Amino acid sequence: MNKWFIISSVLIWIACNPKPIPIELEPHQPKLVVSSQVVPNQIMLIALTKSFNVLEHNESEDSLNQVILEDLLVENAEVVISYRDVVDTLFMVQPGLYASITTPQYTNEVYSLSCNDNQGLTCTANSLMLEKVNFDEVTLGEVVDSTLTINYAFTDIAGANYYMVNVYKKGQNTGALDNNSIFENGSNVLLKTELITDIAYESNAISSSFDVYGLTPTDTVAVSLSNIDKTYYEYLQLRQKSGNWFSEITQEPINYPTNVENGYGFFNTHFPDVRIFYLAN
Amino acid sequence: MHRFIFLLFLISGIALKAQDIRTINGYVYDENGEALMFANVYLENGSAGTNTNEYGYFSLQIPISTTEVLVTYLGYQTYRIQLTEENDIVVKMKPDQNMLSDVEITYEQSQQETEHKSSQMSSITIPVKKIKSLPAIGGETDVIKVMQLMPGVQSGAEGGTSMFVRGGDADQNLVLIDEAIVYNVGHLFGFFSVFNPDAIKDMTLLKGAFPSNYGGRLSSILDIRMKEGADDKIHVQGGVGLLSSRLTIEGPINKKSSFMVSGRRTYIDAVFKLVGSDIPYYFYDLNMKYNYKFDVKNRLYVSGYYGNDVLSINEDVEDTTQQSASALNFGFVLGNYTTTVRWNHVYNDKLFSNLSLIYTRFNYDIQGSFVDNSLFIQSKVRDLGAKLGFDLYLNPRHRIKYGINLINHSFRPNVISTEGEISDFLLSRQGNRLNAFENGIYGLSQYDITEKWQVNAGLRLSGVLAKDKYFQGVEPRLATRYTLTDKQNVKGSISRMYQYMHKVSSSTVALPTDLWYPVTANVRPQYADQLALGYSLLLKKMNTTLTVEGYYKWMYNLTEYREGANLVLNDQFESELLQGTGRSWGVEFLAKKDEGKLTGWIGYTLSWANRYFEGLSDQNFWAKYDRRHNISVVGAYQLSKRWGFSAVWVYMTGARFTPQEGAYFVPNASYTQVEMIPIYAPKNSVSMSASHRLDVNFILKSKEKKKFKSEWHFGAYNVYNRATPYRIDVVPTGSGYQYVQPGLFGFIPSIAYNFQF
Repeated sequence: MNKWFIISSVLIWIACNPKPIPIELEPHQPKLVVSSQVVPNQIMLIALTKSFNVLEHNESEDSLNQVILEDLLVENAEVVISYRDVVDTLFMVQPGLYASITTPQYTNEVYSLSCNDNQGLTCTANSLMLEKVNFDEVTLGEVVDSTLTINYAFTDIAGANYYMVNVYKKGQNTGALDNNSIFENGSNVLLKTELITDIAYESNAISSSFDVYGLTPTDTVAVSLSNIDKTYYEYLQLRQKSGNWFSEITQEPINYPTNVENGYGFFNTHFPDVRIFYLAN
Repeated sequence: MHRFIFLLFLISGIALKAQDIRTINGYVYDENGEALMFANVYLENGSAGTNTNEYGYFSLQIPISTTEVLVTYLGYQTYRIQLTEENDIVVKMKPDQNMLSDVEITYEQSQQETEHKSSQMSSITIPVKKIKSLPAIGGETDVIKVMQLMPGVQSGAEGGTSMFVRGGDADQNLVLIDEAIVYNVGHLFGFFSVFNPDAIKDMTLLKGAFPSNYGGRLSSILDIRMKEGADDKIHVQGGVGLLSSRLTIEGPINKKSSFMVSGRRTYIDAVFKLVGSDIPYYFYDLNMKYNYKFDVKNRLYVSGYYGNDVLSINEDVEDTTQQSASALNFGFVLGNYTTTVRWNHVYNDKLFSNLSLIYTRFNYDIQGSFVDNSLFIQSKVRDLGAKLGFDLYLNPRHRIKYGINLINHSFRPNVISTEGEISDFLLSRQGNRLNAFENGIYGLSQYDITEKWQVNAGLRLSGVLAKDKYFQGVEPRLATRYTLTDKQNVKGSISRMYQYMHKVSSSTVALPTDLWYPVTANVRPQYADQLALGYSLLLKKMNTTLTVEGYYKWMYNLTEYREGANLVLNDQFESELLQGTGRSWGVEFLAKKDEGKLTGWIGYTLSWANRYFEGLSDQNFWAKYDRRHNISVVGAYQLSKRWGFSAVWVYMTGARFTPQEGAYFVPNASYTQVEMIPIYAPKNSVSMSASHRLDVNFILKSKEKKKFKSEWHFGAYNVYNRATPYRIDVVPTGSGYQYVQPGLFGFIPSIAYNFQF
């Protein structure tokens, strides 16, 4: 009796569920997407992709599909970085990835990026290479119930500054995590990004601590400090706000800031100071 | 103080010679002793007349030679008062049994004439009896959803009880029940209003031309009055529906006092329990009123509303860490409580006063526990207020209202107590305790300058003391009516309203945890100016009124939230808040027929509403419920003495939306993973598809002669099962993806049984 009641109720409900109405929306016009990485005194890397229409690749396919990515990588683009009246053309390392090993890295210098995919999409961006700031000290507690406390201290430089401290652990299938190869390991796990503004501190001695979760006593952990620009700081703040399913439901839609003209993403030239910790030691 | 205002208005008064006139005064009640608001009291030759105030009181100056005065009210027989030397008069009206016949209603009998003649515009009054005859979702009559069918009132999401009046926001409506503020008007996340129709006597919605005795919100005043309790005999009425049941008992306690008690409870939980499913949610509400007549000059009312939404989950859940089952307890209680004590006093045959002491509380408690973790969250708003108002009947052409309102709002949001591991993520805190003392003083003069020209001029001085900061507002109000012919008149009004509280709520979804907060040093009061012009045509032979009203509204210091603002359990919301401006304008058409076999209305609204917030958009954007066209056709037809039929058809332009149109991939901050970043269209730039819906209801009444009267209601919501879009989804089509707009409710049949004896 009860089963029949439930089955018939569900059937009536399904039968009476109104058919969703299709709607045509203006298709999204793709733009170039810039992301960049500076390996101190080694290389400047620019990743160039395109934005896409959600009707081409649904957001619910959360994982990065190789096929999708290959569609979005921009090949044979003209990517140029200019500074101090010098123009460097980046070479394509692989589709979507462009590099320069000759561009010198001058602190407090504005670098201008110009990209052209030769199919009608162009974008530009400027980035001030901010002074590198190093940790004065980083100490770790012990892993207790998968929780690790990280204490750090550094000296704030003159002016209004914005910093980020990233903590990530070595992924299972990645190579050694050390100061040189850390940026080459794409599947390490970011545990936390701590955003800091010196407005909150009266002196130039900045120190604090925070907990990270999901660790075992044998993990390898990297802690990095970067002096970042304000727009990128605000972007990361917004990313943190939308970090869980509940906020996705209750939150206002966010159009994330960018420093790319006529495109998306960020052209960053900040330097990180990285410390590696082998927790077993 | 009232003497000061009295003198102020006396300057413009016209006095009749005392030796030529007498003043009669008193109350007009229905057959059960319920006070009738806006009943007409007048001389048959039309040389003098007035109407009752919101407490049923009237005062009328007439020539001393007058022997008879008429009293009329919609649906009641005309009452003829044969005057004696006694000036204190109590009238008990009897229902008009011929009301359902299509005979021409005489000039004097028409209630529509009263509305037509009044300088008050932009107001809606719908008899509760009419509301009960209309179709409703699941057969659950809902007074607010009927108000949403009137021009100028937009609904939010389908089935919800939010109102967006003349381009305003949902928190700009002042909802009063017996003068107490109701902060949360919805049960079940807003799908049912908290107002039990059996307990309501009358309700009026003001969309503009606000009289100065009202204040505190920008866009509308919904003034709901509970029944007072029959004084003739015990009456019982009730109803059994698919989702809830109601029972109301009212009657005399003795010759001087009467009472009304009305309760309602859902049994969603009980129905599902019967079939083995566990949905431990229900809501209930209780309305109570007691009144005591000391004498003809003094009357006391005590009324209260008490309602709760309750969710209580208690079950054993497998605990993987302990390898055993542990008890999970989770639930919430959302409660609205109001208490009003009112004292009506007649000082003399020209001066009436009402003193109200009001207590309101809204709170939610969320509690949960699992293994060693426990959580308790509480937020509450508590008001303690007093209102003192005077009605002074200077002469038949000049009436004055004045008074003072004081309310102390006490806010205690987001008190959190946690234990166990959960306390690492959600810290215990006491929440910010906030206090706001709101006050208003007002004066209002209703003056017939000539027989054709009436002016209603008022001023309200309002203010609030919050966090050691005092804000004040000067709110001029002016409404006027000019009679072109006995069938036609034109009306105009201009009014300014201040609002000292706002709701902290995401525009994407309404949650029970949405909270009210007062203005602070950083959040300035909202205010709005509204200009309205109207034309009214009374077609007496058709018992129909046609009205056209145009309005333009300027809104300042509106509140919105920054992109990405997370407002849930957030005490520091001020840093997320933006203040901006808004404008709305439109035209409303209404053809309304209140009497005869066929009654109902056709309403059409053509409107625009936009906003500007620096930091959200560099140009104006449309408000979320900027619906360009809104049509409602509402009809009730008496098929026979026992059968009735009613139908509602609505059409409206879709609500506005900010869809995700694209996305891109970028590395995260540490270059360890790639993230997908959504790209949204400009704010509210997309209008969802228009929706339309037909609802029907058949009513079968019991035989008239029976003492026990009953009605069966057979209804259907959304007869042709069309979706009313409320969001945009992306769904696969096989070859790609497609945007679609799902609806919440499809065809829903219903059956309900009502009775009374």
